[in-house]
Amino acid sequence: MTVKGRVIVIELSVHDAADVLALELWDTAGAPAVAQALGFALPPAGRSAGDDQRRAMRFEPTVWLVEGAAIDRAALDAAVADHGAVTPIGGGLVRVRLVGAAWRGLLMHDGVFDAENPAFAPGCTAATVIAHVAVRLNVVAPDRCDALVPASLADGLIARWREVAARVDTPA
Amino acid sequence: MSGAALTFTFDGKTYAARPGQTLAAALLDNGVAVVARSFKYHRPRGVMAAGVEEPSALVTVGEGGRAEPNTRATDVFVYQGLVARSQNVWPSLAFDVGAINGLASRLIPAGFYYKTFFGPPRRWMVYERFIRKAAGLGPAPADADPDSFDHRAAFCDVLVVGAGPAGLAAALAATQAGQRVMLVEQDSVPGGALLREDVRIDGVGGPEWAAQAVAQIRAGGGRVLLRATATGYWDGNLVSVVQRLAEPGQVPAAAAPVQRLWKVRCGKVLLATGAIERPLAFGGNDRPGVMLAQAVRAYVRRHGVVPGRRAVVATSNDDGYRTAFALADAGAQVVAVLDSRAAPDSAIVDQARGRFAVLTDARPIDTRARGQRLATVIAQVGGGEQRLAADLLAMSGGFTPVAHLHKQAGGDLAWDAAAQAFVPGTARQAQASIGAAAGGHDLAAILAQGWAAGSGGAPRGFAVDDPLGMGTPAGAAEVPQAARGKAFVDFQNDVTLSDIDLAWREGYRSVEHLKRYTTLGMGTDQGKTGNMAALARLAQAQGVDIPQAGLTTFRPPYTPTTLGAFAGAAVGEHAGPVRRLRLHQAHDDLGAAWQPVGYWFRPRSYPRAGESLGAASLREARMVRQSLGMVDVSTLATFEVSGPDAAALLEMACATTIGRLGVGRGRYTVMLREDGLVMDDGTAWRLAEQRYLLTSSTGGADRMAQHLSWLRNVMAPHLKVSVVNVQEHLGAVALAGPQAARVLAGLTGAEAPAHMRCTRAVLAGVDVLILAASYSGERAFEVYAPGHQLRAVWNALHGAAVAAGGGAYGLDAMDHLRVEKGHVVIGAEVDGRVSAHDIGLGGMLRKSGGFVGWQGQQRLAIATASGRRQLVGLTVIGGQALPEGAMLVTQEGQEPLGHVTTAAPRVAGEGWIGLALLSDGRARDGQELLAWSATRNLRVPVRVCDPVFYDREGARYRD
Amino acid sequence: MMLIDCPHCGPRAQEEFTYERTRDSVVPLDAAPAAAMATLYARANPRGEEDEIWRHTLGCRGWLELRRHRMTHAIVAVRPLGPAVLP
Repeated sequence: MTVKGRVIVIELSVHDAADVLALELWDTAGAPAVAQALGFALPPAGRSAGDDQRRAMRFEPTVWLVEGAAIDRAALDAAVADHGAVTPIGGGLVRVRLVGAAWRGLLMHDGVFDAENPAFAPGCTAATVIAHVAVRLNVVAPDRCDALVPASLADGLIARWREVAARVDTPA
Repeated sequence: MSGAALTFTFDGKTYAARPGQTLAAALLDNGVAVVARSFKYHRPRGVMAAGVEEPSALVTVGEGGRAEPNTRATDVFVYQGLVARSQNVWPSLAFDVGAINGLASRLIPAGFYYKTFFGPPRRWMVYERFIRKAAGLGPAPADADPDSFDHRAAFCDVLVVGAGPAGLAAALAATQAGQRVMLVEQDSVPGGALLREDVRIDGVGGPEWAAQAVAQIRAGGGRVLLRATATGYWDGNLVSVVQRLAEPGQVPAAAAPVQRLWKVRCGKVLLATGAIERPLAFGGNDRPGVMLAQAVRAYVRRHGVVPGRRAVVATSNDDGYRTAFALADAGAQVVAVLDSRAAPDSAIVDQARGRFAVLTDARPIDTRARGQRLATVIAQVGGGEQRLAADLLAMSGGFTPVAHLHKQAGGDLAWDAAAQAFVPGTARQAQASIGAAAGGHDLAAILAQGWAAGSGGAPRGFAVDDPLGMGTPAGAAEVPQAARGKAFVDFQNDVTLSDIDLAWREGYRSVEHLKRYTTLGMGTDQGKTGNMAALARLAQAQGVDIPQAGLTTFRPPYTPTTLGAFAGAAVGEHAGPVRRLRLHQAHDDLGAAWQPVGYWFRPRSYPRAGESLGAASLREARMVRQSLGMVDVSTLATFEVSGPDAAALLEMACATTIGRLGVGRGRYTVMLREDGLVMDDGTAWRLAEQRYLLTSSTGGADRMAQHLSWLRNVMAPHLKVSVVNVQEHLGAVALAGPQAARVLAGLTGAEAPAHMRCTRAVLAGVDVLILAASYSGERAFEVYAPGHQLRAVWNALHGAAVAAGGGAYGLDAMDHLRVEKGHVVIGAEVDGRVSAHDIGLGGMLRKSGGFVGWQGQQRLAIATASGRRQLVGLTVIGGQALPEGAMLVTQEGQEPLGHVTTAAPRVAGEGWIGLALLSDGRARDGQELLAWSATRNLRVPVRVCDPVFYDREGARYRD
Repeated sequence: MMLIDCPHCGPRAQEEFTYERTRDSVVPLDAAPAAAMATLYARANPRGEEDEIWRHTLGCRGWLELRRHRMTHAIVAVRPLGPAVLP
């Protein structure tokens, strides 16, 4: 007997995140110089700024994740100066790109975060836990959400996401 | 009911069913009266209820690993090919030898099992074997569950539990008010009470109105789940909902999950969970053919099944009369209505008198059966008795509002004396109960109440057309009087009125004792139909009102839930997260034997064809001492600490000096807990003026990350420092052996750093950090690179290593090597009870203090006390292997003086050695002891020695 | 199952947080040894509200102090712990 349903349509692609830097400020006076170097102000809590070429994401109180091929590391170091430190962390991350309106439903599985809330919209970020894995989410567009996932745990989570995304889901 | 007929089997016989019927309805439709045998007395049982409160009709549905025992036949909807079997019977349902228990019932009343505990244990073990087999429910399947289960979060402004009239009205209102709405219903179709009554709402029949309401809610963006039970109510207005996507035993479509556990966080919860009808207590009230009155209506109106030809209706309230009308309209003969009230006076009673024989001050007291099925009802009518021939008795003893979730949420109950029922009182969380769950009974009032609850106060009226009228409220519950024969109160656990009286006589006064002594309310139905009658009886014995007698605790889940639903996807290999090395494939290609280490899998050795693990690890360790080896140490905890106050922060965590390190230098360090005992160890390196790298143990990585963050944020938020956990970012390969420096220089084009120095270099085109630290005792280098570039580094190193006569080594070899050097391992030598002084590092501690644990480690009991277990080495006298974990004694059977923390075959030599923690160990140098393992029956003579067995001067680091 | 209002992230599920310790158990690094051990091992353990230190470990990884009623789990106050933060 078949159960009628609709298929969640999601395109899931995996990319390395070698470019990601952790920019920490222990002294907020460093913010203007960093904004100058980036081309935009450092975003507030739960927000991101910029685009795929050059982006800053705020997940933590004093740390911004900076990504993108157009980022000038030397300029960033100079701008940060004595106000903080820049540390590469991209070797420990995998970037998962979820494309398709159903990304919100996908992220509800094995999770505790309200990805279905319309207020979680482009320009919003959230760090949460999904299937025991710490993930950092950035809503890039209405039908695209990027997830930064720890490299050692990525395989298991991506396999789980592919499994959920592929199967027939009964209408909610 | 429409759609093609379905077929199913019960105890091997095939029957037909209509789509939408429960198994119970289909069995009744096919005239199957007996579907089960009771738990203790093995009495033949039929179907009593129509919903999840069914206590008796328990069957096993499905086969193999999919079988679900103790399924209520009322809570499974027939699908094509359903296979169901009766339980707790032998040899058959019709003739069950277990019925002998019933004959011996005088010997096995409530509490008999408890009494068997008195007396010699050996005797108990004999009759326990019989007792086990003599009673019970369905056996759990032995095969693995082939199905998958799902977990999902959901958020809403309003969760409505129950899609009866109250719930539907509330969900409609909330949806129209623009709220995020979720509505869950455990049945397969919406409607609740509407499915069994003949009423019209706003001109539309009840069930159709319900279906239209659901369509409107969904069209408005609300989420409606059917076959979904709200099963637990937790803190923060979190409600867990178990949704069935497939029926018990049903094969799901294409690997879809069979159940989904929703964890719903709600702004507000509206509980429209209805009320459960109470049975009456009289002799033989469990016979097939005795059913709850509302259930009979449900079978007649919803499922098109009339479960008897000659019916008696016995009721304590007006609602029971509705069943008489439903039966009569369906063509059954209603012999009489027994109303326990002396002078009932309402419109519905008047209507009934015109159609049936209505006897007042009348109640059933006993029954007779023919061929296991009800045949005669013996009623007390006024002062006399009457015998009524009937094969169906529809009973109504009043109603119990379903307040389980309200109570789980911390709410309290109030007593409604008119209805003789507990109703939800004050709520502690953002929730409210509506409809019959709140004690309501009038349909128009219920609809209006539901609407107001969902709309936040805005009113709306509904036009209700009810031919029978509501009359007075569903009346008082019947307080059970003395009855003849077995008058069951808890049908599932075979607890009778006399059992309750027995408990009282034996001195069990509180309701908690009554419950546990009789097992009343402890079955899979959790006393849904029985608790109130028992409570009434207890209150009577105590001479108090029911609310004074107390109540037991309501606990989730509301209905039995299969363990798979709680596990979700976290089963088998996915039971927990698995951390995979970046170089996993490289190790696999070399034939690695894998070892789980916390969440990681790491290579323990690379055995060649036909080589044992022990031989492989010894070969690899010797390879390191003789030429060189390389090992993946990417799992080490690593932290980049930057800023003017980097050294200051490190000196809070580390008990040694850090700040005196020059740029390009490193040192071994140790971190204590606040109580002064060793928490972890590692190395600290000054990479630049204001940048350090701290490494520490793999096993303590998460703890160290938390600890450093704690120090930075809570203890010293003013420091100008950044601490970044780079355990995931950096991978590392350690290259060790006499050839290591030469091979490394060959690959980087630069001289390898001296011992305890660090440099940067380029290897295979990758920018690497090289730390000259040795764990193995040979000249060694840890080569660090970002994870995504590690493979290139590994490939280059491996190629060069093999060319130099070396290769890869794993955890076991690494362990053998470090034992020879007396290096401690957190978790082996350092087990949380060990101080720095115990392992000989007391001199390393910073005299100026200021590190976590400086106060604790000063305590005499830790710093100077005699008898403390100190790190020593052991050499085995003779050729035996040394058993790890063995106790160290002077003589077998004596109190242990310590234990063997790690054992290893000597790498540079023959025979076995080990490290141990030994009482006053440093003073026992040369002493001969016995390493004794009683569990493995091993005894090995050993001699105490210095824990460093190899190259005490460290000459190997300086070639 | 509690809902905890993280100062940085807003209301989030308890599963994202780790409980660290009570405020009264924190041992200052400059405390004298006797006082340090007394603090480490003695607890107020009230049947009511208490100040506790938690970390939003699986969220923003920031630290917070909250005042929670230990019977009802009602959280009556939350404040962030840590260095000065850019808004």
